[in-house]
Amino acid sequence: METQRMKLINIKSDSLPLDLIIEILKRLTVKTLIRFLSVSKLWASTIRSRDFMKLFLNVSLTRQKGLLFLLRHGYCGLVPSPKTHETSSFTAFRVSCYSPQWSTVSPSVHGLICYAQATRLVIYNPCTRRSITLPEIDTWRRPIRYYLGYDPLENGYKVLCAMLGGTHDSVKEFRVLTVGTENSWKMITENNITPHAPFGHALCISGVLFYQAFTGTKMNDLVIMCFDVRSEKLYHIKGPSVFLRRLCSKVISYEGKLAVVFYENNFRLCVLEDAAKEEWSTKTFVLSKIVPAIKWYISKSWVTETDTGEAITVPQFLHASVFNDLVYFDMKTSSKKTVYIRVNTEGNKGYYVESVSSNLVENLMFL
Amino acid sequence: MSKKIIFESSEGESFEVDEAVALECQTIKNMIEDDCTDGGIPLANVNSATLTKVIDYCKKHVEAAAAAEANAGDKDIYGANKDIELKTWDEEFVKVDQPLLFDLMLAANFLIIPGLLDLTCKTMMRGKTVLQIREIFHIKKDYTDAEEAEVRKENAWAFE
Repeated sequence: METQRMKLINIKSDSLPLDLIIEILKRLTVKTLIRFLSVSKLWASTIRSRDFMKLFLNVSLTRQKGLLFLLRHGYCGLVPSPKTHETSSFTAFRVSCYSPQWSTVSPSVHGLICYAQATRLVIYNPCTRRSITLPEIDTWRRPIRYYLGYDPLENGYKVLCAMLGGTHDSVKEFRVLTVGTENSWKMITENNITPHAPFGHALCISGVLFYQAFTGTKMNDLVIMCFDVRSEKLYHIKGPSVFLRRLCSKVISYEGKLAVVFYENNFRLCVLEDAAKEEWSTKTFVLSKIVPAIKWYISKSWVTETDTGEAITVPQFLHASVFNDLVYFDMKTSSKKTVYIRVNTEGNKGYYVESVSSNLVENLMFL
Repeated sequence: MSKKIIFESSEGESFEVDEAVALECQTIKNMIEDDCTDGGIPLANVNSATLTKVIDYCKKHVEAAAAAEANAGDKDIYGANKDIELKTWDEEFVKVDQPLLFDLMLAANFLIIPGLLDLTCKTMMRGKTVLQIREIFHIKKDYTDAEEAEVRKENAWAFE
């Protein structure tokens, strides 16, 4: 116990211990941290260290999630902490590694997005405005699907690439690459992967990537494919029993669990309650009961979901210098609230919205 | 009557506080659990002015927590007002000069008072420029002018 006392006595009050520097830095925003790279070499190397990046990401994950807008012609906009019934504003910025193909980007994985630019894949971090281009894949001109995943144990990102070209657009082979440490794509050689044709967005929850796919001899049965990012094993699970309609379903995260949503006359949410038993629970919300106008909103807007069970409708065009309404429909309480977004822009032009994510997390990758 | 703990500041001044107040400091909590607080706890790097403020903070937060617990049964708008009141109190609490704020932050860090550490760090960093940071923390610039210009240029957007 003497050591504990000594510790209390021996700290000099005029110098800043490294543990306190880290305490200070982890509370800042990415933008401020980027400015503070120029304070000193010690601060820069601390901010750029792998350990600090991981610590910062874990702090960010406990904060409110932000909105990420991908806008037409290569612009991007961030709203780190949207407040309901208040106005948030953002200044759109141009992304240097822009690709027209980002209209199909999946929701961000811990703030990062992955998209194709010509024959290569790009991983972009909108918070640091930095990206990396992955090694070329030899695709033989076949169409590909690509999914970004995160392994929380290793604190690493991997990209799974499915090369189509089989019958009914099924996958011929899979390649995988660990971001930042590997220079070439590895083939997944497992042979007992169910033949399937992927569709829709992917989602990564707790180290597992999920995407929807057709399977069966006629490729018309639906399953959910799972890719364990750490072990690189691919397997599938049965979808919920209401999983009948094609292409109008979407995988989302709901209270940390995998869920599938359907927007039909009703809003239907199926939650994977027990992954081992493949048990789904279904909640049906009658749209007209929630808010009579929701159908109107959905027909005019993009819809994105929060992991607390809210559907957010986002206008397809954000007007300059007026308030754009983002409406949050809370399915559980049948209530709605509005976030007002103002876009700061030179001149009078607004922006077409290509896609929206409501799970933006501040991340220091690629700094 | 509750147990008392005695702190001794760097000037050798003694401060007697209730054990509940001292328990707000994780470091002291560990010492109390290890039963090594007899004869007072010397805090050679905390001066009397800082220690007085630290004790004020801990007292206020112990009282607020006790009040919140007493009112836990009827959580209404009144409960929310209490939170706002404590927040306002915190804001007033850190309206001090820069050296004292700095000492409070150091004290919160090694006594491990998470709430006070969060409050002082955030207040300390609010709206600060790179130059102000170097000045406050006595950090010597170890970049050459050319290196610093390069670091800034790489991320010019963050300075807009």
